[in-house]
Amino acid sequence: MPELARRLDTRQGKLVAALVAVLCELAIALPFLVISPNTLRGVPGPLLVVIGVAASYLLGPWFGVPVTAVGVVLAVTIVGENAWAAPMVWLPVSAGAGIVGERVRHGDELRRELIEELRRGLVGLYRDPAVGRLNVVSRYIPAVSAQRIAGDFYGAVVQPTGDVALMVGDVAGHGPAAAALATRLRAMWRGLAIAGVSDSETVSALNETLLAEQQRIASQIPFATLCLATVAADLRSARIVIAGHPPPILVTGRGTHEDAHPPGPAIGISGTSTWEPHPLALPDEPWSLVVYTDGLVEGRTSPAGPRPYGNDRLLPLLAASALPIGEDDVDAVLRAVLDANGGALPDDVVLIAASPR
Amino acid sequence: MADPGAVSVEHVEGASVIALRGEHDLSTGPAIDAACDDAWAHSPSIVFDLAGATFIDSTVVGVMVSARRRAAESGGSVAVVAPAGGPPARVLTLVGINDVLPLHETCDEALRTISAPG
Repeated sequence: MPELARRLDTRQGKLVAALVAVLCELAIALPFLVISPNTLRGVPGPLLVVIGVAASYLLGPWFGVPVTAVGVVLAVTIVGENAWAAPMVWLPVSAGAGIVGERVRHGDELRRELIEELRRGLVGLYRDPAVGRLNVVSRYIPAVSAQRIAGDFYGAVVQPTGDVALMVGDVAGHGPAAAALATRLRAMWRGLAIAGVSDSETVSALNETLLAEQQRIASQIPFATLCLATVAADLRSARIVIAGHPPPILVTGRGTHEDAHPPGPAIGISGTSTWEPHPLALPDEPWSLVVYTDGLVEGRTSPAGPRPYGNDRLLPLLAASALPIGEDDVDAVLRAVLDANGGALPDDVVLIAASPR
Repeated sequence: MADPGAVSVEHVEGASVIALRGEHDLSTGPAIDAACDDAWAHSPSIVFDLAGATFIDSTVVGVMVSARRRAAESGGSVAVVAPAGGPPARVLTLVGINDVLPLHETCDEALRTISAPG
């Protein structure tokens, strides 16, 4: 269809499209010209409305609303000259309704495009999973309803020292405001991380940004959570900073280790909060570091069962994965979570597994 | 079994108690917002009673954080009932709002902090 759209988007193409549209409209009007007036009087007005709406709605996207409208008016005019066309008053009405319908559909498309663009801004899917000395496998699963865009975001960058900074965050709330704020926080994190600003200062700066944002009238973002995991260039340790977010999980051949350090508060709650990084030792044997957003563990335990799915169920899934955790393993974990929930999850999910490469 | 979320509001002297039972997330957000509007119309202080809630997500935490902000502006206060070890207490502790919104074991305890602030 894009090919057809390209061909129609020329002067000649538009002329042909207009002609076809008029012919289509004439074809719709034709039955009313040939059938006897008495038969037509039996046709209920609402049916004509349906026909008119369907014609405008179906032809609108390809031939343009104005052309469709002209076609309808033309048809009405032709039919109208035969004085028996009283039910035809329904046609202009229905054409109008069809045009409105087309506008609504256009609006829906625009909204879908915006949401998609915001999502791309939030997560930035990388073609190459290699980030410094790590392989970063990432998944972003939108919530059950495509219109309910959430504020999950993540990123991975190499710092000047060779350390690899991973970040995953979640702006509380849904909708364009949450998503737009998330893209800003992500861009800001990225800039600070690339510049080599310390993790504590980075989170404080993001906190101040969110607090300032809340001063704006109509800002309804109560807080955001963050998890920063920076893997040292020598791959022997990582620095973890948590702001109200589920902690990272270290997966090794011996099982899983969920970082149990007390988390700092979410950002956007208090101007006096501080965040201190704490170290996480990384073993010589193969490992993967998993970071995620709470949507992953907030689904149902079974399709009719209670929420939440919980870390208790996530940890054995990760422990059963082959190391390093790759694309297939991440997909298997997501499949297990989705199956337990009985289909799409109520909230967005980000799941990242980083392993030495 | 899944436990659909229910919201109730009770007006007591000096505060309104919003009790959540069952599971609460984005889908019950409008009902909680409506309960808050009802509560604000009655008094400047709210007690969120989560003792009967089996699940809350960040949407609910967000509502409470916003309520705290609003109460602070109007001279009221917000208290939360979330018995230690329960599902709501775990979520609230992870998000770290127990620093600014202390959690209480019982509704009576929470109401006492509202009537005797500080």
